[in-house]
Amino acid sequence: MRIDIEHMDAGYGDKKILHDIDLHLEGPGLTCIIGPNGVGKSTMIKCMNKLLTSTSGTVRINGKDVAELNRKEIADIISYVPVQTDDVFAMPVFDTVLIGRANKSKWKTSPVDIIKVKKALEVLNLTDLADRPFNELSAGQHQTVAIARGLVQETEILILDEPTSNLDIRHQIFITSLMHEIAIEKSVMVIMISHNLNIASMFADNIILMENPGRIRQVGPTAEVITSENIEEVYNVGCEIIVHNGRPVMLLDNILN
Amino acid sequence: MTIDGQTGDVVKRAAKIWASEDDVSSKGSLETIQAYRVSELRKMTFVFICIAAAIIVAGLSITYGTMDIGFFQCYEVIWNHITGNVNDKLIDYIIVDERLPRIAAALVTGAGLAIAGCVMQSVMKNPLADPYTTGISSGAGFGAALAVTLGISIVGGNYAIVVNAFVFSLVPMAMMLGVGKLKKASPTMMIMAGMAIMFMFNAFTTVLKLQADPDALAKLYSWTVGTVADCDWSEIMLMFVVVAAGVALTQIFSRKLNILATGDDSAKAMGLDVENMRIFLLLIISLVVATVVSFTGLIGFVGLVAPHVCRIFVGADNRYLVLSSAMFGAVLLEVADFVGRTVIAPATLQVGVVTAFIGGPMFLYLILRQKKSTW
Amino acid sequence: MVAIVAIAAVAVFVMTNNSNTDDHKAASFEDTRLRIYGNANGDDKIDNTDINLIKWIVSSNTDSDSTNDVDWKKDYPLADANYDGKLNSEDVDVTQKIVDKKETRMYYFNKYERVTYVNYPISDKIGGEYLIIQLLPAIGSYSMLKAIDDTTPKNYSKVYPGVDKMPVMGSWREITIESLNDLYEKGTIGTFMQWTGGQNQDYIWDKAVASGLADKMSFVIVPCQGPDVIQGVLELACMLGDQSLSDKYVKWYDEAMDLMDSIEKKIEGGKKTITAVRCYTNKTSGIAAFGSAQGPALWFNKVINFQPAYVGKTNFTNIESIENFSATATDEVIVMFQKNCDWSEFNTLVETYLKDVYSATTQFKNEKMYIVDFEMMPFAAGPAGCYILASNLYPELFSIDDALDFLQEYLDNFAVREGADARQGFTYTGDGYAK
Repeated sequence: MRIDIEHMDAGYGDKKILHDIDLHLEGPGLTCIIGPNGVGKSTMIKCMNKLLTSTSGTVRINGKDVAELNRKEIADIISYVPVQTDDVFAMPVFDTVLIGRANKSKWKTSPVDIIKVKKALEVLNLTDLADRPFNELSAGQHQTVAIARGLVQETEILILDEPTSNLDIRHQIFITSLMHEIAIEKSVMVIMISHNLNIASMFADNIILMENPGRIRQVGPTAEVITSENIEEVYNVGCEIIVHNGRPVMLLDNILN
Repeated sequence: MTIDGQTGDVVKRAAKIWASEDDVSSKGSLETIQAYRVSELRKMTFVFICIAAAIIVAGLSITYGTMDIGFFQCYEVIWNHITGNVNDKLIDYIIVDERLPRIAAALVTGAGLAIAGCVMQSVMKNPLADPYTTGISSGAGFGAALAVTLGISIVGGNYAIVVNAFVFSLVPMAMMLGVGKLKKASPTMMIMAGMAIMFMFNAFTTVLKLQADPDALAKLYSWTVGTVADCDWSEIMLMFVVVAAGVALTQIFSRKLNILATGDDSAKAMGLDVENMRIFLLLIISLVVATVVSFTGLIGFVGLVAPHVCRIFVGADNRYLVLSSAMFGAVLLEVADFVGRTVIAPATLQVGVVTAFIGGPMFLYLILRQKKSTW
Repeated sequence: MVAIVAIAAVAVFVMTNNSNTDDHKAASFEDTRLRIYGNANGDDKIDNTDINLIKWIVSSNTDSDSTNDVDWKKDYPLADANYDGKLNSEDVDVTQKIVDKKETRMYYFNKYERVTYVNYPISDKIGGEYLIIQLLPAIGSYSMLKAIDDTTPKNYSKVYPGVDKMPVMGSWREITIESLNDLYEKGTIGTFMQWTGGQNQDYIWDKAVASGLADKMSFVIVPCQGPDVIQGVLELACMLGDQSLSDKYVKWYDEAMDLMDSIEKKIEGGKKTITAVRCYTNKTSGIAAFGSAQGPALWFNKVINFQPAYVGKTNFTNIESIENFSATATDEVIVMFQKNCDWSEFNTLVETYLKDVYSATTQFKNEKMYIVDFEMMPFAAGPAGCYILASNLYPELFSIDDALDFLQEYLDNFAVREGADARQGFTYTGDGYAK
């Protein structure tokens, strides 16, 4: 599995957000995208599965240009967990997640579909909520259900847009760590936008660091990207890096320049 | 144990579960599968109950009227009619040409409006959407009125009125799609826009009424209130074909409707051509609504209430909701017509009046009953 | 002797020819008021003159002389009494049956311009839809009314006694074969009279035929609004088998209509052009100009020309503003009221409404507003309304006293209630324009 982005610009309407993006990702593992607000993280991942069409440059999935692939073909390779779910009506959680199996199953729901959903709920500690109507859940639970729906699609690439923004720290750690383990166990390329740099740093195999105005500053293994120089220049925040459990951890300055 | 080690245990275990073989025959699996199948069965049962209810209501309704014609005699008359063995021409006319068309029209119209409401609510993600509140009925009504009063129509011949109704129903439909694209449009905002459109088209239709000659005016009056009294068999056949096609197509697309309900981005990412599907479904619905409105006028509430009631029993799963909404809508309208023609007999209350009486409080009850986060 | 016989013979010959000529005058369909097949000569009665005429046509067309053939389809369209497209002895038989009051199928040209039929003589147990029932008192037969539609009691229980207790046939314009048959089987009605006024359609006849009910009950679909009411009166009486029932009304009607027709000749410049509006409520928003196809308007045409700017089609174009009205309407204005209040309240009603709505207008200030009541105008009392209106508009031609006497004649002979006084409550009899 590989994603290749070359010389890509992208934006909305007249506004250009991303400038000359070059990115090459290969093989299973967890990649976290970090960067300041509005830099274009969501925009970039939307270009990967053609939710957004780039204005110039190419995006290739497994060597094929996305411009030549239709939505269904892309959906068979990439699953996407959006930052917000829209479900309006009161569908039970189980059924909501089951929708994710639409591309895998025929008209009738097969036993495999049911088992997959059961497993996904179990893995994400949602089993107790299986029969609850979706719209009675908290924002954090919504997010976790959306992740479950992404998981059951069982594609080789999984993209998540800020899946942990509404979760407490234990759950943030749980999800991020889980994404890493699943990437290894099931051989999936997981790409995740993250706001918590330290937690991302704990589990990511690779980090994509983006900086204004919509460029990639550095891509690479976590230890190489999380440096105090990078953090200072991208976020304008001073910090000291220590190593804990083999991973860089930022200790932030309490005074801003 | 370090934090890393602890989370590693929990997480590693979870990841292992996820990556493990799917064992469909394990005890836990079988239980889950069984539970799911039971819930499926329950939903299917509801669909069948709705179908049965439609048949029963129609079957009972045919035996009732101003004249006292016995229960079995009614069916005998229908049988004789089918076999070409008519005994009493007058009774035959009363059953087959007066009572039956009314019932058939009510069933078909109810199904059509309900399916339209069901689809609109899913596609526009708006629990308040139905042909009436989105102004689509009024647009169609205006087109029909235009053909009848001023004789202005896009095609000539038998389908002039329906084609007009369809074309003019597209205006509110396009407006609704446009409003829906506005970033911050909430469901309430969309419905308010829809009602504004409805008022507008109703006003246009009223202006037409001023121009109308007495014959046309009488027909227009019935439309505004909504009636199933005027349909002849050829019109009913047309409605039936269109509504049946609409229900069939919607049922075929019901899985995709489920996907659509998860959100535009999510649905696109799962492979759905969201824009085109939305337009396609709304076009079908507009055709269904236009056809039905051309002959029976503006009947409110059925499209709103039927899907909501069915949702209480089968949830928001469109695979069951579509068919049960259609059948429930048929039942609802047939009951409304039955009430309308019996409560002040031999005078009749128009069906649209009765649906407002039944549907209004029902809808209010639904609103109060739901948890607040349904909207 | 021979000379006298010869002269007498010639005289006889000439006379016969003359009477032949008179009796054989072509019937103009437009002028015919009794449009029943069998009324070959197009006058107001079906009698022996029609039978003779038909015989004459038949013999002219079957003798060997082809120069005297009669194009009866053109000249005597109503001669074909059995409406089969042929003129022969069968038509004579049918017309004879009509004259002898024997049962036969009677064809007639109905309000919707179709030829339909009744089962002559029609049953005198009549179900009347909406205001078609006003034909019955005009022929002194109100007691024949046995069933009504559901709007009549609501609106007219004070005007037509007993309607709130009569069986109901169904909703106006939606009466079903089922409900009619139900009442027929119960012996309540044998004749159905359809309301042929504005806003109704030809909705029942085809159903009556398709169901076969038209062979059991009679469906009477005759005009009743405006001056065409005379057609309805004549035809209804004929269908009942007693043409004398309509005699009095016809005489009364013709008296007024002849007077109205004389206006055009006697007044310099012909009929005046007048604005006609209605004033059904005391809110300005409720007033509207007159629909020219509305019942009252049909009568007004006999007396005035409508001011074009204020004539809507059927439904009442609203007047924009009172000031605008004041400036653009004619100096004299007709105002139509509608209220089924008791006659004792009518004066107060008129004064209040008129003042509330029109007091700002010049026409009101000049006291040039003429009040007419809707209940009187569209229907059989129309001629009286015309006469009263004309006496206000053309005082040099007509006196209001005569007009009121004329109305009294109506009340005494053709109205439903007894003891009504033309000078109390059927016209405005107040003190004048309340300031």
